[in-house]
Amino acid sequence: MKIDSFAEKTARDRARSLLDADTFRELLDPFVRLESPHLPVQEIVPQSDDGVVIARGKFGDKNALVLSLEGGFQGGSVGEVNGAKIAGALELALRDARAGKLIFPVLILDTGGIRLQEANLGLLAISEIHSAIVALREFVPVIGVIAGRVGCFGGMAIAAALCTFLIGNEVGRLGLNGPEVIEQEAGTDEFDAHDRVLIWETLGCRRRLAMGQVDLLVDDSVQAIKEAIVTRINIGAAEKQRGIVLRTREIAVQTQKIQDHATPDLEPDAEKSFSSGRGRRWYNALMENAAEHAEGKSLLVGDAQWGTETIRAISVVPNPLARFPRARQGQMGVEEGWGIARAIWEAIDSDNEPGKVKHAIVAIVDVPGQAFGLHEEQLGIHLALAAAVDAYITAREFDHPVVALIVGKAISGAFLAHGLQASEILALDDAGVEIHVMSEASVSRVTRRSLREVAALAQIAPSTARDVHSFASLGGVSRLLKADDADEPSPQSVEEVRSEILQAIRRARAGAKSPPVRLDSPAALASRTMSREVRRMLESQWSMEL
Amino acid sequence: MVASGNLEVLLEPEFSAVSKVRVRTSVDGYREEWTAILRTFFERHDVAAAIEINDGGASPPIVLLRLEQALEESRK
Repeated sequence: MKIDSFAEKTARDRARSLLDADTFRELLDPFVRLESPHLPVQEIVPQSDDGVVIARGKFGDKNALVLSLEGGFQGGSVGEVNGAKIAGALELALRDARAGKLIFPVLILDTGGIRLQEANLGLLAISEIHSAIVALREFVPVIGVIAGRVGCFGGMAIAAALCTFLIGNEVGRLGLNGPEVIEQEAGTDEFDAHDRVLIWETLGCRRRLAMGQVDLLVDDSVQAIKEAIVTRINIGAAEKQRGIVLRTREIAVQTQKIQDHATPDLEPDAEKSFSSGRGRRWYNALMENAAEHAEGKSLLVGDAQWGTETIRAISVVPNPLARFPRARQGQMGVEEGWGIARAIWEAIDSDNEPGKVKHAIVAIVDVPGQAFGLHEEQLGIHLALAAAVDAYITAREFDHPVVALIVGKAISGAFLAHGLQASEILALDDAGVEIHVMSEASVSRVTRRSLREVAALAQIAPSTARDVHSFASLGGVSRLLKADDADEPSPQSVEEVRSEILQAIRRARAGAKSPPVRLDSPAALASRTMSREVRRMLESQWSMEL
Repeated sequence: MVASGNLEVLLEPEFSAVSKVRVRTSVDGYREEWTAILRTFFERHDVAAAIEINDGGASPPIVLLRLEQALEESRK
């Protein structure tokens, strides 16, 4: 039989080729012309599907939903419109699953991650995609396919790790940070972006299979991929999703792998720090067990009783003694990701009894980014961050109030894993609070614009700005809090912030909790108009019978 | 409608006698080349169509090929 290459096809043809013959029905097709309004103002030609194909169809007697990213358009990057197409379709599949109508989702991931030109809008969309995948996994296997030339990176690598079942081929690569970004952030000694052998040995799907981060490696053929999908769906339907081991929950196994990994023997660098240290200071101010965490830890976790609420607070802080050098300055690395997952699952498990009042989880956020390093990629930092994402979402789904307080930096993958899945995000109204997806230097390198152009962009596109007011204008922050001194807050300021956190916890106990409620915030009504419009139009096209 | 990553061609029937074409391209300064491609296309095919081209830097032969394919597809 002639081999029909999957990698050589466009996103639309990939979706069409996987679904049963003549069952492909595209939602929000190109003639609906839902293109990105953010690209033309940055002198980039948009496309009328914004690089994502949403298709419904059949696998035998089962209803299917195929979400296919076009790697050829803007590197398969996720912005507001195509992100809303993916998140919105998954949210509708979830709504139907809860009503007893199962739709089996397949994500074809050919994507570099967040679209830098739409920055924080892409970041919010990806957090909504994560949330929908984890919720949907309870009903149907969510299948990911990494079989295209771009591979799967950034926030979408976290999405891949959240999938129930991940299929790859020899063409596909999977990692949190692309080689060019690691080289930019950490230097050529850490990762040489021109070393093709190194890239494939670190990020290739064959390597990921050996690490247990991809479940199946298949030939680059439509038939092989379709057969793998259908086989997995039939198993998933039979098992009804109970008792399936999800890789994001293998905390003990993965932690052991990290302990066994030989780390580079570098001297601790105590003084060189680009973290403000605010994460530790606010943790210490708000929590009573600060003494347990004098030093030598990059993750602070503790419980406290605030009135009737039992709080579990989590903060990632600089630790010059950390085993992984790239995570010594407050970054989110492999140990931090799995550590957060462990801390949250302890709370979920200990409260999982009828009638027990559940811990409120408080994320104190001052994370200057994810750790950019070779060892991190070898171990699968995307998976460590996915474990934290999964834990935060699951806590929320199990009715734990989850509140984030941004006191310093909240950046990119680190913020996805620590903060963005909160039911409510509070932030200090302070110039030291920064929310963005990548350093200016890396944005400049990846988008091939000068640093001056990157800075000028923030003036016309608020999603690419870095200040807390711009992020709040996207509906990302529910309340901006005043502190007299964000670096050294007075006891009175601390008490005011504590009171705000408690009020947010009470709101979370009372009401809707998942991140899509951010879309209904007054700020989002004005700024995330396309996120809302895409969902509205998708819903109107969703239910037509095949 | 056809697309190949960096090029998208949307073709719809046009009920007036005059074809309409909108080209958006990421590459400046190729007006003559675009005119030549479109002239070739309309010389070959006596059709009235509304065409939108979103170009991220495709070569002229590819543009012509995609136009032909879009027309072919619209006739199915």
